[in-house]
Amino acid sequence: MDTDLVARAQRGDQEAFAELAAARADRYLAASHRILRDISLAEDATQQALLSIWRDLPQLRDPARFDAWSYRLLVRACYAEAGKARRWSPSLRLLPADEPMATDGLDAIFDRDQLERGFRRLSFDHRTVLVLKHYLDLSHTEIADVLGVPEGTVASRIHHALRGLRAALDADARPVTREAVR
Amino acid sequence: MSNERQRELSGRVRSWLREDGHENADRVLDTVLDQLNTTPQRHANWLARRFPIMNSNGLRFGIAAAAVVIVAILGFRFFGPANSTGGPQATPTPTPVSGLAQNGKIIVTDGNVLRAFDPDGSGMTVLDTLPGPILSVVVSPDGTRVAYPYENGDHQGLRVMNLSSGETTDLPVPDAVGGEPVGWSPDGESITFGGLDGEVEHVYIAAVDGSSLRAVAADTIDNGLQILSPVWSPDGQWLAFVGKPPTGQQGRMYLVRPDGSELHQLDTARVEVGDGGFISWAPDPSVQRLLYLVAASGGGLQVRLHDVATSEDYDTGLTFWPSWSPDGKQISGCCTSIVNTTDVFAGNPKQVTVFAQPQGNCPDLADFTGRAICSGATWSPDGTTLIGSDIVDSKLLMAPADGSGTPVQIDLTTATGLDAHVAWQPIRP
Repeated sequence: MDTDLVARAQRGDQEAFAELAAARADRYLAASHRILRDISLAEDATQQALLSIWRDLPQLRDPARFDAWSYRLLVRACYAEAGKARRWSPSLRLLPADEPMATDGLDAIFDRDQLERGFRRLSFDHRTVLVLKHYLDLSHTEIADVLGVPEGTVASRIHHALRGLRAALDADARPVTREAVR
Repeated sequence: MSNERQRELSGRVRSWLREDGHENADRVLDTVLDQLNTTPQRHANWLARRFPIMNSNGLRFGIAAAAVVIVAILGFRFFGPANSTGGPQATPTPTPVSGLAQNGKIIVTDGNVLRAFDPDGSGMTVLDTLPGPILSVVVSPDGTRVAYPYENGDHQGLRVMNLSSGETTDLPVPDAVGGEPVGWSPDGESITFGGLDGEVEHVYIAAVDGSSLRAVAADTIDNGLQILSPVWSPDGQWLAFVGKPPTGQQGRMYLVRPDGSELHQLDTARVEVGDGGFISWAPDPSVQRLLYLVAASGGGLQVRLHDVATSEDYDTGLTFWPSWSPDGKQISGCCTSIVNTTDVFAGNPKQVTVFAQPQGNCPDLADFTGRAICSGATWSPDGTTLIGSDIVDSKLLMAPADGSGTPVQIDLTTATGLDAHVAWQPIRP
């Protein structure tokens, strides 16, 4: 973390802010894409978050906390976009996968497809906490800071998110089993 | 779901989230940078403008000093009496708050041991040792007794101790007892708590001498609800509690007379339950005000104040772990921030941080100024001191409520952070 860069941006240095933002924008977009499951919403959320970061940066008391603080604004922006859209339709396109396909490619696609459907069924809170933990690699303490909840709540949300995802995956698998029986 | 299945699913989710394609945000970034000139930065409050280098020790001292000044000014000049809005028709003429109590023993749960300390944090004594962890502790309004639920194998017990004699009474309990802090009646003769009878949860009232136990409004409260943290209003006229469906983390707040009549749901947002804190009545019996938590936009929590008499609802500006000051004119919240209720009613709650601004929820910084009380602060009966558990160590942290002076650490042996519960005995003449 370049605290000097943050401090300069706090004082209105646009070049410093551009450098900060350029180093993080892809990550912000990727995180918001994973939370919102819609690239156009994610782009809007990322844009709004970056502008909020610029606007409110002078209020950040400790430049060393920039990343956690910026994630908080990003999550807020995602909430705002989700609230505007309220369109978790099943027709939203899947995320692109650039990784080379594994040898058991069909299984991998099936697994990804299952996870995608299960993930969409989770609440916004549960998707967010899983992305913060498993994509951004934040600790429970850091997630608590980003979300503004106690650490125990983070652990509880992760537990319930995984339980919900498991239930969704199981439910998704049931019709296939019935078909096979017939 | 077993731990093994949870770990396996976590691994799948992690791999799946990471194998998604790489997003290119260049277009978004260009749009943002184009708008910087037309997007003015919002400068912080006057503190930030005066102290632009926000992470220096000097600034931390400056903020703490400023907080002291603000608290002192607010405390001595601007804290007007809380809005008295009257109460429901049946509320009798209340007894006004007539001076605050003096500070008695600090009662602390330390694993399965109930300890007491002198008001300055010294002179530890063991009050009681239980067969399992003590789940919470609350001192009666008159300061003569303390009530604490505890685990006993696969059961829970509920014990009351007379603080003068040390005599204990195990109260008759239903099949299970909630671990939340019990609610004391204003006269200190009864307590209320949530409990499970068979497969139905009830609001219970028990006499503290163990002579009676009854479920309140058992026929009218929806028997599918989970009952959380019933608390007795300081005027003795109402019990407030949260009724929550078995799934989810949100419930509704209800009021019922102690005799089971007039059950009704309060017109508030859904109440968030969990470890962010419990509903609580303002200590002033001349008003009927409740603190409760809701889910905030952005994924966090928000402490709200509901005035029962007017049905007005206010944002306190605090996030979680709310606690009323003894005179009801201030509210503390995570993490050692305080707001003035008159500011809350004016729609402009201004947080004063008792310690220097903490990082994260509960940081472990090198010096005291960065520490925070991390399980909700307990006020001293005279309103001068805050105490709570420090999540980092097996310690309690006690400090002047106005941020002055040096915080005191009190060593515990087994409890850490959220496991330690604190109550402070009021001594009344």
